[in-house]
Amino acid sequence: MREKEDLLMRDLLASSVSYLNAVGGLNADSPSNISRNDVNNIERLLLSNDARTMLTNIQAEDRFGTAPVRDSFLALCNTDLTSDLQSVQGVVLKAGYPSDKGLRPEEYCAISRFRFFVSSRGIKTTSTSLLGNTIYKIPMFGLESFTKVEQNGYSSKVGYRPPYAVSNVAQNSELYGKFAIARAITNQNWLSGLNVTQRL
Amino acid sequence: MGQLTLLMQGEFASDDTTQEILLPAGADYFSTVNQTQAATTQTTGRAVKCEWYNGAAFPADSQLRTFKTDTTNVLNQTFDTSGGFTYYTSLPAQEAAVTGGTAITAASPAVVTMTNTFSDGDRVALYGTTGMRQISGMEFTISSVSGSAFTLLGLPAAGFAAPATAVTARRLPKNKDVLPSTTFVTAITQAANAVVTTSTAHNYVVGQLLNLVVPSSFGMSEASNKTARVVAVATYSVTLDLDSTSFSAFAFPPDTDVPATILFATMAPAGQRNGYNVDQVPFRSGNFVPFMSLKAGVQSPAGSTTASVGDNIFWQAWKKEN
Repeated sequence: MREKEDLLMRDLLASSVSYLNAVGGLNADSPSNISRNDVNNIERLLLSNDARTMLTNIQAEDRFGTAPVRDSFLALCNTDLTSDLQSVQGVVLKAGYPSDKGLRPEEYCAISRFRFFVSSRGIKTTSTSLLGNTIYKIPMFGLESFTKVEQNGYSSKVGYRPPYAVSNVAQNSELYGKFAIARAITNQNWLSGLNVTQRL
Repeated sequence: MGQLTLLMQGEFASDDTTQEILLPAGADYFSTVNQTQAATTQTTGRAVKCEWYNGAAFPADSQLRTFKTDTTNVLNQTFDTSGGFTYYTSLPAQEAAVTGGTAITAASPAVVTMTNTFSDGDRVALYGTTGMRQISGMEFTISSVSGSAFTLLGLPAAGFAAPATAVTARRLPKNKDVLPSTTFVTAITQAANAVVTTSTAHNYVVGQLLNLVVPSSFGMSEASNKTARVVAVATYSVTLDLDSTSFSAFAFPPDTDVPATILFATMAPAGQRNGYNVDQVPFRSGNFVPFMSLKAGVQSPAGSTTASVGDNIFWQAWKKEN
């Protein structure tokens, strides 16, 4: 049920957000693979619209191989892009954070002013780039840019219908799920993202 | 076989486009009656009743068709394997690409030359557009579809330097998962109330707030990040309360700038305000299942050709009781 709620929110981000094509990569495709310049461009857009970061900074500590992490916006992407994320200039992988306190398993890395979370259900469109490759959408957003409203006091419920309620012959019972969420983009200016392809 | 229970019924006027009928539950029998054609005769006898039964005997796009003999009221019946009903119990997957398109004209509207099996009103993604790479990856609603071409009413390409010499198309579901959805902008006028043209038939309503994103490569960067209210709508355009009189002209970047230039200019819904149109509340689901797809055509369930647009089609969906 919770996974379905996440998918419904993903569909909102896939359908109703303006994305820009990445151009800083080197795979000669349109959109290109992700690059730091593209990520910085989105940061500039969000800051120009007074978007606020969602995560506080992680201060540096005297631990070898770690680096401080800036207060960040969020980025959600498909697991197919993990190898490309590792190749972006200046990336700080999660293992390189000064502290692992409060980190989610889904978090992958920090690039510029964004912390990236990955999912195998991330948004992608098969074979529609200039060269016929899969396009991945990466929503990138600040605080309170979109929301999920719970109606009737719940977001989702599992229910059971006894046999006598299913049909006159009372032969089968039913299990159902229902959702009472409403999705909304609260401020379109605090929400953007990149279209990218994989680096070949 | 068990007793049939009427699920839903309704009627519509044929407009030469594929019709999609949303159903509340699984259907086991579906029928249409063309009331207009039932009351008249034609030089070429037309379908007056089309039927579908749930089962392997009725694969996708098939129908049991009852039609009139030429110029008389005598009825005939046949089984068609195309041009009929398709019952969707899950959202249609993205279809295989149709390659081999040979041209997109640099005209307003643009015309694509491509052997295809599309229908009017379909939404397609075009890519691999050699010579016109600045539109590669965009989605379009197509019209005037023939087996060898279709028109992009949402693309005024007269200002493009050259036509495309190759193109690949992929049909997409008619709607995105959530409505209203982001649309691609293909033109913005310089006017006291800017008129924004979209590549697809949009789903915006009067009173809705929209946010524009216009990269500098499209000229009219002054319009970027502006939020404006819709004051009028047409199929492929909206009029906004945005004064663009002093803005730079909007224009697609040249093909030669791709892939180094930032694409695309887009328009997205801004919040849930839409003038209290309770039937079109943002952000509602765009695709529902199950639904029945009715093909359009002279011998098809959704009605006849352009010459007979406006035929009254009556339909019923039935479900078998256990």
